[in-house]
Amino acid sequence: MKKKQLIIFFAILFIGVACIDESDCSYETTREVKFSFVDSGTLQTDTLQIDSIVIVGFDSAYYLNSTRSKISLPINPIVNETSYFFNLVVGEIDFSIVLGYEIMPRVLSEECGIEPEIKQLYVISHDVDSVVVVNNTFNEEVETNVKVYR
Amino acid sequence: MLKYIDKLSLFFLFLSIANYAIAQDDIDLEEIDSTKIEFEFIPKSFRVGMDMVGLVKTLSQNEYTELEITSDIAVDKYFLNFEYGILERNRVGDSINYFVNGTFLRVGLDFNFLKNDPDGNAFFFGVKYALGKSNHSLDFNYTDPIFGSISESREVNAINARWFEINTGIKVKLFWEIWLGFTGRLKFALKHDNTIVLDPYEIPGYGFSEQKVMWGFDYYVFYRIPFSKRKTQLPTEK
Repeated sequence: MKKKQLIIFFAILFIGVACIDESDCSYETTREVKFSFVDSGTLQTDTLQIDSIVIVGFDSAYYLNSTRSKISLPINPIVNETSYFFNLVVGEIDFSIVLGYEIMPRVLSEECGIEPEIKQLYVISHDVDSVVVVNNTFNEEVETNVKVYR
Repeated sequence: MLKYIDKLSLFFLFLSIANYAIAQDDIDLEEIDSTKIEFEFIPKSFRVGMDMVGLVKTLSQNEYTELEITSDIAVDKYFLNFEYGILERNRVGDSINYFVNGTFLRVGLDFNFLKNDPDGNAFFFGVKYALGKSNHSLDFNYTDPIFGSISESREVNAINARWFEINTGIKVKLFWEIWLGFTGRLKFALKHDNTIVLDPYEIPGYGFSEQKVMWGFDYYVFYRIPFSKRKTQLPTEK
């Protein structure tokens, strides 16, 4: 074997060693649960006049004072359940939903740390007609995670 | 940076092939009539080698051990390959301490396109099936902008993984029975045990578990044990 082959061999070796371990940060999931409201009588889209929403673990309430048929709310990635209290305008009945789930840490890289992924979402309790988990995926593309029938 | 690695690996692959071409200065393959040599189902040599990338990284980095031994048995134009490796690695960042240790095994067959090289040099293409077992642990801190912070430790053991590889590369005689070789690897179809406790970040022998396709590149130094002193038979003159 000639000298230049050895030079090429070791040049490639050290360049390869230097480059192989790099990694990117990429966040694939969101920590928001998307609710859709359905009229349990007609099974049509339900529109709520929401005054505010209180989320346990979050110090302040979401003051909306608006009409919604869908809403995205933060889900607590620190504990395995999140309680939502929907305060509607006067004349409508307030309700609450408690969701449970597993939290799986996904390592992004040494620099980026972890991203907590919400998995196996389920309904712990509610006080409306029905609450159904329709999608367990948490990302921007998903339109609805939980359907609320009332 | 990761997006450049694929291109870099391809670049290395072409360099390897070019490097092999340099080694062929004194071999005129056109003079060889391969049709006169029939398939011999007789093992011609046993070669064992070590991956230099892992060795250099093991010697140069703290909390990192990656050692890989490769071996092949040459039978006619084919190499029956067995590769075994270990990985033990600690990844420490501001908010994580991730530890993985495990072993992996690859078995496969390579086809040597250089049928009648007098020294037995090889430019090969092949497939491999790989499997591994690994343990993972993670200490992490996470701060959510709304709900606050958490510090936790997670651990999963005996995670099984398997995948396929398409390999290509060269094996070139350096001197005596010492050989050098490059292997480019396209790793795909990874399947591993899933657990809700912790998603394995790195699979020993494969790489990042979330990547559906991984490139790999190894640089080997081999020692070859020939089963016969006879060099590859060159055809007689017509």
